[in-house]
Amino acid sequence: MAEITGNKDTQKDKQFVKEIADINENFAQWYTDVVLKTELVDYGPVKGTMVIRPYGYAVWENIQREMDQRFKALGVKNAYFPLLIPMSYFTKEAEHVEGFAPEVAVVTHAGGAKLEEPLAIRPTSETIIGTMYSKWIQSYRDLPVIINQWCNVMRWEKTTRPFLRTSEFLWQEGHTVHATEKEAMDETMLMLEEYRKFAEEILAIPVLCGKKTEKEKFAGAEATFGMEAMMIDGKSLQAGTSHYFGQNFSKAFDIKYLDKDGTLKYGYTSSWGTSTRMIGAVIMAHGDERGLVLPPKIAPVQAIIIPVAAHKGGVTEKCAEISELLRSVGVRTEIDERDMSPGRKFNEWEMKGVPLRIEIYRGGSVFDFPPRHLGKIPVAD
Amino acid sequence: MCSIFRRDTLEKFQLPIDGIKDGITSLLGEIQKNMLVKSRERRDKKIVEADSLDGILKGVDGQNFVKAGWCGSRDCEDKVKEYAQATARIMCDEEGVPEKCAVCGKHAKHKVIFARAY
Repeated sequence: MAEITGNKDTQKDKQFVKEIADINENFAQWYTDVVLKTELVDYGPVKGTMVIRPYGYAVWENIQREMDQRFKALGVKNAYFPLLIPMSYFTKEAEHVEGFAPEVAVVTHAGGAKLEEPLAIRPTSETIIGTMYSKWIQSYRDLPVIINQWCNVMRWEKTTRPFLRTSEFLWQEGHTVHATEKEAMDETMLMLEEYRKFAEEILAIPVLCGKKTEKEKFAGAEATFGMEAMMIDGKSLQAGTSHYFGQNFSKAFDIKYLDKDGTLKYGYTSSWGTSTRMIGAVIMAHGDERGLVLPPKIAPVQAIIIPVAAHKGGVTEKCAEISELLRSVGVRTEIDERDMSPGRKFNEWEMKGVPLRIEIYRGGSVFDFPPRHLGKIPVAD
Repeated sequence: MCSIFRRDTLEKFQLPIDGIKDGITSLLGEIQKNMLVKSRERRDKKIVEADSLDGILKGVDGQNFVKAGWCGSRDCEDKVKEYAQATARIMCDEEGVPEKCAVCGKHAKHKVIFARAY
């Protein structure tokens, strides 16, 4: 590979300052500017909701794919449970309802009439999944049950920030039932460790994992374990959680199994979840004054190809050739052929956090390069 | 020839076009690794210890995570929230629990990481 110019281009930085707030002076505004201007999200018409635009959704799809592959390798099965939960189910576990009641959105009318029983839009699915588990689990032979769902949940929030805290968000929630306390605890810790590996290997974010205090734990859990990431401003963002429920939910929802010894026993349960919040973590852990910096594993575009002086013969063809070559080895790449100056394209893709930019230009000699490369260029080959 | 710009380090360099396939794939791998390394370096510099409420406040005001001893009482936890606007993120007893609670001075049962949080 050729030498590095070490050109950090402060001229460019000044342009960026105009488009987005200064990351050091106003981090909160920087975040809002970045998520909107990179077209990751837009605000929805209902307060607290976000629209995940194609660029943002592509990031989520990459996260989802990577995580789902890991789940499948662990033997986790995906399923789908209904969005609406009868309010009466909700009240079966006292701490759970107390914790979630203030955040629950409730459907009271449907099909043109008032409903007999109000229905909660799931803020989390322990209650409805617990109900189904009670029905499905009869014997020790049915255990363990390890099911995950990818879905949306709703938690009515007073203040909302895209990805960080929105009334509706996308996530995965795994719910398990085991015959013994030890197995359930092992599962809880196993998934915490899986999340830690995921954060480090895929999101490139180092995390600290540990048990939450009683005050901070999940409503209804015996123990909650959190995964904490430090953002650029030194604040913490909880990027994932794993809960051990003991028999709290199995007793509340009657999840019993007939054991080998012929006695009916309550199962031990766990649940674990990560969400679109992780995208917020990526934005705030890696961003800089120019905008997003995306880790290649989740970047929707890993290498953007920009033709420079495309009117010169061969440039367009070369771009297409390189694009195909890179795609053939699994690189996510696009060619930006829009009618726009290369400089503007550079700004845009930098703000969007694309890991690599490839500028293709027609050269007369081996050492040819676009005029704006000033300063020392060491001899290549 | 082509020019490559690397977003994570803001470096620009030349790359012979015939080496582009291997060059790009190895660069992407390098960037993924480098981002984690840099992230960890940045974070590890911003974890401090404290043995008083003032110490916790100073720590989080300085944009740090703060490790401190805690007696386990809701009261002391609430005091940290009130005084420093920081919450207990996780317990890290395995690192060795300090003798005293940073808030009340009584016997500490846990080592806790306090931080302002999203």
